Amino acid sequence: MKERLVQLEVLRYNPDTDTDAYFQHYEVVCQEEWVVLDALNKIKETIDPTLNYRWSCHMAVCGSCGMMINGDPKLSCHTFLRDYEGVIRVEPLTHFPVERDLVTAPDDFIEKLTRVKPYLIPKKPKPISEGEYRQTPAQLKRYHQFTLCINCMLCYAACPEYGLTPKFIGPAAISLAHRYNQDSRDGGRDERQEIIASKEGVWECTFVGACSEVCPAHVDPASALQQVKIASSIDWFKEHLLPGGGK
Amino acid sequence: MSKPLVSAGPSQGGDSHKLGAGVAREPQPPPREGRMGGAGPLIREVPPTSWYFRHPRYLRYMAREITSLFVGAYCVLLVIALQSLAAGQASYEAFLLTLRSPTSIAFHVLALVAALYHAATWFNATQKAMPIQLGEEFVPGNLISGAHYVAWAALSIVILFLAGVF
Repeated sequence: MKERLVQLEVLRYNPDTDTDAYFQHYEVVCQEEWVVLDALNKIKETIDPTLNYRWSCHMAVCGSCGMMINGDPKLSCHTFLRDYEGVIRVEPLTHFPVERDLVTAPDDFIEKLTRVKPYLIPKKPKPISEGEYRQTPAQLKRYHQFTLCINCMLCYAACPEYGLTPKFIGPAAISLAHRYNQDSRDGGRDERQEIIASKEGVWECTFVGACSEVCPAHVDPASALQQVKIASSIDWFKEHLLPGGGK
Repeated sequence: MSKPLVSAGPSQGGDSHKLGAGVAREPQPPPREGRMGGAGPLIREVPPTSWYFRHPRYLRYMAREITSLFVGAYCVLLVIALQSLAAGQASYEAFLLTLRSPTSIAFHVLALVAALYHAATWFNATQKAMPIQLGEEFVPGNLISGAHYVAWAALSIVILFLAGVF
C-alpha cells in the first residue's frame, strides 16, 4: 500500500498552562488514501497522546470533526491528505472559543439553534387517533435539502459576519428555522420569525455565500437566508400597506 | 512556516509518550491584548479590517460590494446631468463637454466594467434567493439566472431604442 510522509502544523492550546496558542509541527507516515483525521489519530496514538480534538463517526455524518485545514473549514474525516502538498496547517474552527487544542466550545451555536425552535410546531393539537400528518413528495421536496444539516458549524466558521458580529443567529440555525417554516405540517413560523427576522437574524447577513461553499452536506444556507429575507420583506409590506395588516 | 526546533523522532527520543518526542514545539508568542489565556477558553479575534484577505471567496465578496460604489457614483453623475439640464442650454453643453474629457471617459469605462460585474454577481445569485418549485421539481437555477440576463438584454434594447440608437 502506498505511503506518504505527512507534515502537519497543529494549533495547540492548553487553558491550564498556556497564555496563548502556538503551532506544533508533526511528521507522520500515512497511507495514501487517509484523511486528515487519520493522520491526527496516528499522531495521538504514536507520537503525542496529549493532542485533543473531537471526532466520532469518521464518515461525514456526525459533524464533530470540523476544523480549519489550511484556512478552510472542513470535516477532517472528509479531507484527503493526497489533496494537499507540503505542510498542512490544522486549526480549531474559527469564530468559536478554543477550549483545548482543536476542541472548540459550541455553546453559542447550540443556544441559537434552541432559540429558533427547530422542531415541528403543529398548527393545532392533533391527537394520535386522528391519524398521521400526510405530506406529498412535492411538499417534502420543498424543505428536504435543509434537513441534511449535520450541525457541524463549518458555516459559522466560514461566515465573516458571524465572526464580526457574534450576536448574529447565523447560517445553520436560520436554515433549520426555514426548514420548519417550509414544512406543510408546521404552524410555528410566527414564533420563529421573532428571532430570525430580527436585526440579529437574517438582516445581519450580507450574502457573502461562504456558508454554502463550505457545507459538507451540500445544504445551501445562503439560499435559505435570502428566502427568509424576501419572505420577511413581504410580511413587512403586508403589515404596513394592506388593510388589517394583511392577516 | 518556521523550522522545527526539535527533530528527535520516537526512536531517538526514547519515551514516545512525552511531549516533544517526534514533534517540534515552536516558541510561544507573547500574549496578545484582547485574548484570554491560561484561565479558560481562548478567543481568537477576527481582524475587523483585514479579514477579507483570509480567503479568495472573501475577496470575491468584497469585489462585489466595492463595485457598487461605481454604480452609486454613476447615479450621482446622472443627477448632476439633470441638474445642469435644468439650469439651461449653456450649462448642459458645458456638462457634455466635461463628459468628453479623458478622465470622464476613463471613469465611464471603469464604471461600466464595475456595473457589469456587479450586475452579473447579483443575477447569478437570484437562483438562490428565488427558487421556483413547479410541481415536485425545482426549476434549474441557471434558468432563473438566465431569465434575468434575458430581461436585462431586452430592457437594454428598449432603452437604446428610446435613446435613438437604432
